[in-house]
Amino acid sequence: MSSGATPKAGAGQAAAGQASSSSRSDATLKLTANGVGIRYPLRRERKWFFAVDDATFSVPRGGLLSIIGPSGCGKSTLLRAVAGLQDLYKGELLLDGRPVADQDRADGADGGVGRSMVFQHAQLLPWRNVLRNVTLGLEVRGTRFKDARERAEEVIALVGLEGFEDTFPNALSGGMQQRVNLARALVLRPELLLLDEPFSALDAQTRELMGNELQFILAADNRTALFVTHDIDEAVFLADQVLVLSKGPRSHTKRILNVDLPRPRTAETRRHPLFLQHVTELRKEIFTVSQ
Amino acid sequence: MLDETISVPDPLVGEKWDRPPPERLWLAPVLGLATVVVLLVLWQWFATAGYVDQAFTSRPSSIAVALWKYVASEEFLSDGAYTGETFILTFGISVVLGTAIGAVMGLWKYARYALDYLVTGSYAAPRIAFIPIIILWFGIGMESGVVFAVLIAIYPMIMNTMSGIRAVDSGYVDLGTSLKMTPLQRLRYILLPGAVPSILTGVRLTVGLALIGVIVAEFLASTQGVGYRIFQTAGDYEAAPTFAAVIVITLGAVIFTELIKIVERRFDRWRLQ
Repeated sequence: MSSGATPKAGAGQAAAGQASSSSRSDATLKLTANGVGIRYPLRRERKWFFAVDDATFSVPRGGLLSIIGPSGCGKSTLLRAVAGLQDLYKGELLLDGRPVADQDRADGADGGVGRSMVFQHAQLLPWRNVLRNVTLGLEVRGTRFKDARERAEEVIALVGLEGFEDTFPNALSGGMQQRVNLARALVLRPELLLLDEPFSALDAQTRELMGNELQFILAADNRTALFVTHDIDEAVFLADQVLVLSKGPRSHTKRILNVDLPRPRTAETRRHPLFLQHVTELRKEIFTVSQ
Repeated sequence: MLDETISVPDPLVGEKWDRPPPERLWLAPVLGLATVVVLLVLWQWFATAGYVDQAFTSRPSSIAVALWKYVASEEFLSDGAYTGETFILTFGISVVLGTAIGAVMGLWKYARYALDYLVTGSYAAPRIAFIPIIILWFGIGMESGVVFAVLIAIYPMIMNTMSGIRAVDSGYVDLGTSLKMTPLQRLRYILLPGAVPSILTGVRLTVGLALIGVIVAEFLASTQGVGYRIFQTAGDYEAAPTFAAVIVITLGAVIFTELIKIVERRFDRWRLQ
């Protein structure tokens, strides 16, 4: 679209990114956000809405960062920016030391993509069955259907939906739809997985179950992940680090909490004193209105 | 005492209640046909008893004879072929061109801005008034018939494709962006399939309108076809052959609509599961 402008802006950002990367030895960092600001236009009022003003964080390779904050703090917006669905108006967002905007066509290692998104609502195409929903991303990339099917079947089994390949989404429960949603992102072998409140529409039991399974799925490939949620327990349970955003609009990084709970995390983890301490602390952090 | 299982006879688990009662699927066609038959019998009776003037209304038995004669005649084949060809051409051009124009208008807002007045304006115009100009340009015959009928029939395709594409959930568009789709891939994988229900509604409306367009064009700008036959026999005060030709048109339309339904079911498989 704005092919003329992007390379120039990208080149500038890339240079800046390299400069900062050398100073912080970024080789182990998968994703870095420096003072990220995101705004979007309110067309009717002809005004900008400044959702995020200063988000700063970094995620090491293979790490899982949960993003929490009061509702309306721009956590989903931030994730969409990492996915390339939203432009930045200031700051930089570096994936492997290069600006995210430059990587829309870049592929990751082992034939995978740089990043892929698990949406809050499953967004399964209702006219495609489970298999064809999962192969969609591969079809778009021109993978031969035979290979696409093989890879899709593998991932469908991984998320526990073996035997449902020919089922259409409207015959699946909410939890199963989210599994397909996850499979559709995983089949692309993303180096960075972006999860936007993927379990928020599920009942409490299914949510806990999916949370337990997700950590194994992610651990299997040493995958880096960003996890947006409004559920503090879930955020702590899954994460290596929890990022707390301040109240929006114009939100900023309020706190980054390291979670040093042993892995794999189990039902026991949820009763661990450290877990309870973290959850209490974060709850206080979110509900205290100190900007 | 408490360990004993007490079996209570359940009145609902008799043999009679093993399965839910079947849906009475035959009811709809039987009732539908009954209405038609009753009306035909009344008509025949009124006409034979002399309550109505048979010169204008004819009667079912005479129409049946006229229909038989018409179907057995040479004209029937040439009429049917001519009208059929005009209709198929009209329908095909309307669906393909209408979907294409609607897709372009649904995809790019600038195309929508550019074409908006032209489309809504020509839609609002009394298009039958264009017939003299069309005859002037294309003469009497199939060409002007197709041109006029497309002008009548194409609008639901344009409107429904456009609104169908615009109504596709923005979440699906985000999905397309996150999967790095090109605009054409977005159209192919997301927007067109998403607009299918709306496009099919357009197709159904287009069938009816194309037929009207074809028949009206044959009234005014043709020397052949079933529509021309209707106009001609009615002009000669021959009620029975006129009705016979109308029945031929109607049956043709019904058969075509059933064919379209088969195509619709093909596109709607996922909804039926």
